[in-house]
Amino acid sequence: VKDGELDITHAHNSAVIVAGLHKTLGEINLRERGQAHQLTTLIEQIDKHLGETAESEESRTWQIVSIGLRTLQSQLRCREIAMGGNGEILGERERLSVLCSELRMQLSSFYAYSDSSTTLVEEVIEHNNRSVNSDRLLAFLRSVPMPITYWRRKNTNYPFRRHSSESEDIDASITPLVRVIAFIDGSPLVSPQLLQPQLSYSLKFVVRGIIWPNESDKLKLDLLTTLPASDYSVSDFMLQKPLKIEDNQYEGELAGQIRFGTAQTLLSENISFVVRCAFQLPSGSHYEVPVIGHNQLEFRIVDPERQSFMSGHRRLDQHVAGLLEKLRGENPAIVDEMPDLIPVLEALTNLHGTYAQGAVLKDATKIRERDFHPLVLRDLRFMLGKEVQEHPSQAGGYTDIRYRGVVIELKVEGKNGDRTHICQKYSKQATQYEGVEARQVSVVLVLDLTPKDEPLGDIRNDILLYDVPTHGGKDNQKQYPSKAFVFVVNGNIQDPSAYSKKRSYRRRMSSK
Amino acid sequence: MIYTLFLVCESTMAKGKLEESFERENERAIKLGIENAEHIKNAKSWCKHFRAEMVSAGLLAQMSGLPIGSHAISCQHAEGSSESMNLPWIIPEFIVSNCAKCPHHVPNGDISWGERIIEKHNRQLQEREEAERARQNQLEKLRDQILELSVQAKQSSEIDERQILIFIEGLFSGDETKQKECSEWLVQSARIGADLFSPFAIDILLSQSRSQEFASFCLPICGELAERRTDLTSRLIEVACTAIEHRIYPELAAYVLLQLADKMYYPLPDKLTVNLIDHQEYNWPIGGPKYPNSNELLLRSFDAEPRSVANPLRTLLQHDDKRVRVNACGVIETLQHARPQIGLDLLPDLVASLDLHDDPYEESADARAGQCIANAFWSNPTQVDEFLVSQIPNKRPAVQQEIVAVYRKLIRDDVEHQHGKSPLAETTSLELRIAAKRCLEFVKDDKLDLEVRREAAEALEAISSKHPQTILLHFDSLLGYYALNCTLSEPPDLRLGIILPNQSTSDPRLKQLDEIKRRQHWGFFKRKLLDVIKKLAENEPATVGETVIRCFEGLDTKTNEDFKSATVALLGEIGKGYAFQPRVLPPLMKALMDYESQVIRATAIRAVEEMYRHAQSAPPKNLVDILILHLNDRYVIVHKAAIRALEWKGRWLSRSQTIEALTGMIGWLNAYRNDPYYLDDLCQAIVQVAAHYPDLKNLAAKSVTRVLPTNEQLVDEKLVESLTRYIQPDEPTAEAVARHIVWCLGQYHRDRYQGSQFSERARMFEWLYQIPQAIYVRIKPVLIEAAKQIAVRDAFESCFFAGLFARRGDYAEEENVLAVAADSLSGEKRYHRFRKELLDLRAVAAANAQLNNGNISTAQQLLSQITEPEQ
Repeated sequence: VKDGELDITHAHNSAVIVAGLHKTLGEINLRERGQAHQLTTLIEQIDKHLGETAESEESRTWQIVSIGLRTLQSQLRCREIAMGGNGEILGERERLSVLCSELRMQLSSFYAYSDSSTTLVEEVIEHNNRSVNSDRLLAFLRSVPMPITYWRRKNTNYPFRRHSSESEDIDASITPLVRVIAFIDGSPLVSPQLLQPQLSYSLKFVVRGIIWPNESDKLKLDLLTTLPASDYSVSDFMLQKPLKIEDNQYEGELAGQIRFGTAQTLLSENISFVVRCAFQLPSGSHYEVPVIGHNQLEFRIVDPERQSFMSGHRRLDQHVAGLLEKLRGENPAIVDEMPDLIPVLEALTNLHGTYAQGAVLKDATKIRERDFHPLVLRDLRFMLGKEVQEHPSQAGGYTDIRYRGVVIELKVEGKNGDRTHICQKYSKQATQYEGVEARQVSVVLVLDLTPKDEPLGDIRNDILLYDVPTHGGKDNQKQYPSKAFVFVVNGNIQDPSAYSKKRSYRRRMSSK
Repeated sequence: MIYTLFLVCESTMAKGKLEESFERENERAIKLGIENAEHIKNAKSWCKHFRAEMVSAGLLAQMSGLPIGSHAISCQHAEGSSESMNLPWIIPEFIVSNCAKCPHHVPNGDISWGERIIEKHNRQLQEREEAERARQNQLEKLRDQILELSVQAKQSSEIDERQILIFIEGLFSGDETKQKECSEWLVQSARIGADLFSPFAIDILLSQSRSQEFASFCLPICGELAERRTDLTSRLIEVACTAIEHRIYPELAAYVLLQLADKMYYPLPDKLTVNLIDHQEYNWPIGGPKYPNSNELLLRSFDAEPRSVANPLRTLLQHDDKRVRVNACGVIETLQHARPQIGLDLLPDLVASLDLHDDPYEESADARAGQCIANAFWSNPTQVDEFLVSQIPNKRPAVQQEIVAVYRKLIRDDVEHQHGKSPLAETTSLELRIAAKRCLEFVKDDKLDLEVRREAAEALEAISSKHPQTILLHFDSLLGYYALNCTLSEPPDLRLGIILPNQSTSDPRLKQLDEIKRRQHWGFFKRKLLDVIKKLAENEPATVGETVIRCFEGLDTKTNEDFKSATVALLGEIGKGYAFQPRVLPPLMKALMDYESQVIRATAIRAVEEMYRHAQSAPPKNLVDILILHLNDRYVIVHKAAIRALEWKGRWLSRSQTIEALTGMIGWLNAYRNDPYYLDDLCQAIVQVAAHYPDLKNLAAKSVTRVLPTNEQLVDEKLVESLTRYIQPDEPTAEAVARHIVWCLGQYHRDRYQGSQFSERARMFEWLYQIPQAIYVRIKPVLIEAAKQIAVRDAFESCFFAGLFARRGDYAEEENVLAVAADSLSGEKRYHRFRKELLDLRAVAAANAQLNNGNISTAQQLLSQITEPEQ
């Protein structure tokens, strides 16, 4: 028995298969349809068993039975197709023809010394090798003794050695890993990195690693994103294997460019890229490796000229949009509040610009909060509609104005016009109102009635984003810190010429 | 009988370490035998069905009457059986596995012992399960905490730190593959991106570096961080020191400290030093782990303060447990490579450790200590040599033997490599000269025990084998000393041992034993001494050849038979040199024809064999004729030497010489009929000599088959198996061989401890499977008989016969064999499955027999009984 060892379990398995074979062959009815399918499992079992059996005389009998079963199955299939079943008759007939030839050869060889061999072959297989006598073949298969296969194929693969492939060779060693640090225009990348559309930025990756697989001579770095390819363009990044890897460490720089086509709206998500690295194998396949460092890049594409924030006052819009970008960059969770917040901010920016340009509150020296409130309410309703509510109850108090959950607290300051002071003083109340609704951003509109000894400056100084301290520990350790947009509207304003007069007066006084 | 055993132990002869260990082993075995007996008694009381059968035993069991040996324990209702020499190990386990809920249990006396075992087991099982549960809960909790913290950390960290946090999460996941992968990645990350580890990541890694569960993952990462994150130095020192103190992966923790380079202060605290030594394990026969980090730390401590390392090692070298000493020596050996001084510092302790007990099992503490001393010798040979010599008089012979063995170790190749010296240049200069001179002194020192002197002779043999130049100057001295010993009619007297107050010295049996042993040791010593001289002759024939030939020619056979025989043996060694064969052959021929001494003739035959062992050419025809002539010599020593010489040198013989040689050899078959083991050698020689002439093959095979059976299992099996190699199944004598095979298979039992595929019996079956049909038909009756014989006693092996019958289409015989085999297994639960399998195989065989007769329906009925195997 060539390369075999006696194995009782294997022998018993052959006994079980023989029993199953006779059971199936005993039950099969060649006149019924769907019988071919019954033989499939049997053929598979025999083939599997033969694969585990050592080469011997016994296994030859099993091989003949296996071919006989396949031939019978093919014959039945041909008949089923011919009778309207599924399948391709020409292909199946060719298969049957090949199987017939094979069966003829095996039978003739195995029963070479038997007198009845020629009769058997002639009875079972047609002369032209195109078909078999199914009944006779079935009878033959039922009558042939199938010896027990006592001998299992010995595992000669000793000491056990795996047949390794290219990728398995790499798997066997430690998986390489690379460190990637990204630079844009020579500076380390921040997240999100603000970029402008229609400009090309230099993008550089510094790559470092320890293990470079022998099979590969290139490391490919690419960026994976859901952004349509038409909206951006980026260079290919490919690192050639260094000629010498010293101290078991290699490092390389990959330089290229990145460019985005269009700017994003304030409400759109940051553009994310996954940084992937893979070693190119000679076969053309890739061996991907984990990346540490900048394994994700986030960009925000902002066009300073064409803001999506539009109140109608262009420069103010740029300012507020900048504040919003900053807010969003520092607190990614705030993006959920944006859809309600932006209309409010647009409306207030509009009001702020309009009031300033029209000097609407120029002469207001003593105006009370309850008088200021209807003015603002009316103007906001002009712009935002009926959803602007007044005095709804919230957090144990009454808010001034609310629009879709965004609270606008109105205040009048008559003593201290310092903006920091105003922010500190008035943002807390609004914050508490917003806080109870799990919002981080509140809005405060303050009318500054303090005397204006100096001329008013750039009104962008009057729209501020303020970090509001809240109870319960350090704010920089909180997951959801509170913020407030503070709009300061100037009232009690002097005529611009008054400052010239004052200056002449001072000059005169000083010359004395 | 026990008395005889103790007589052996109480002999006044000096004992070696092996004998000392043998005595202790005997004591332990007797103790174990008493425990075995106790356990068998208790187990038999516990249940009537319990069976214990001794399956192998030795002299000790015979002499003491105790159950010392391998026992198979079983029960007809148990699913398995166990086998061991140590019954206290396996009986409780057997009872717990099989008896706890057995419905067939029948008490046979006091059952409290068995109940206690089961109760104890249940309690331990419960405790173990509870401990494991608690551990798992704790781990789960820890993982949850880490996961939660990691999620928070990811939200607040920089984008380039997040991947590290993801790896950290993976490190503490329950998935081993993921843990390993993430650990590897984190190590790489720490090397190339230490700055990307956020404070959270650092906190977790450092805290878990002290935990038994995760330290193996975290410490290597800390090691990489240590070199690159100077801000973590103090924290890492604390973590690593704590890990070493608590013996949590000290080697990995040592790596962390090493990476901190000059930020550590040396010597390390005592506790750390002791733990760094203690955790190292060197009880590996081959390979084993290395401890480069621990040893590097120890070296730094040693440099700062030698005693800080030497003192703990001193203590360990005096430990009674040899495993501890092996480990200590392993550490010393490693440290010696870098700092040879440590070996010299510890030399007295190493030599003192040889006083302690050792045994030949697993690693030898003495061998490891000897290696350390040998290493020290290389660094300062004079000092070490003088110290060793000074210690010899104070030690018992067993220890003296170990000290002398140090000189032999010096010759080992690895020692040379370790010291980077070329084998012949520098090493022969001083160290080996000192060693050779000292060994020569030991050999000639008749105050030393013979075994010690033999050890010294072995060292000399090693030197003469690898560095003959070193002792070539002493050749004449050695030869002279050997000649002197040959003149002694009696071995030297024993050294007097210490007589204990109640010790009898006049027991005649004891004296007789001592005398036998003394002569034996003297013989061993002389032979070893001659081996030294032979090695020199083989390696330096040009220098010593003429001396030996002159010596041989000047000696008289009658007065100097022993020494002359030795010179003949030396001629064989010298003759190995191609250039010296012409010079050696004439005296060798003289020796072959020396009819005054059969010893010299036999030695001369062996010398010819030795001389031509590796030669491409054959000896002159007349010399071969002499060898064939000596096949018929009436002296056993001579014709046995001639048979042996010709066994592997059949190619020297012409056809007529082969026939003559075969006639001579076959003639001895009858004479040695009662000596089966020599008969085996003789038959092998006949087969080998005839192998060169195919027409003589059958003559040889017939001669061999005539002596079968010898009724000695080993010999019969070996002879039959060699016939299967020699005769093909289709050769004319195949039938006779087949009959012997069948007889042999039926007569003798299978060795159940030998894998069937490698045994002689498996090869016999393989051969039988190939016999032609005609032979099969003729020997079928004996096949059937043998198959039944085997089926009754060995169901598995009977399947070889069943397979043979199946191949020949004899399904009825196959069925019969399987039926007998299945019947032999009835009543034993552990064989239920096997029996069922055999019955199913039998059903298939029966069905095949019916199919052969055309009874398809009966066949199908038989096959319908077969069921799928139980999983």
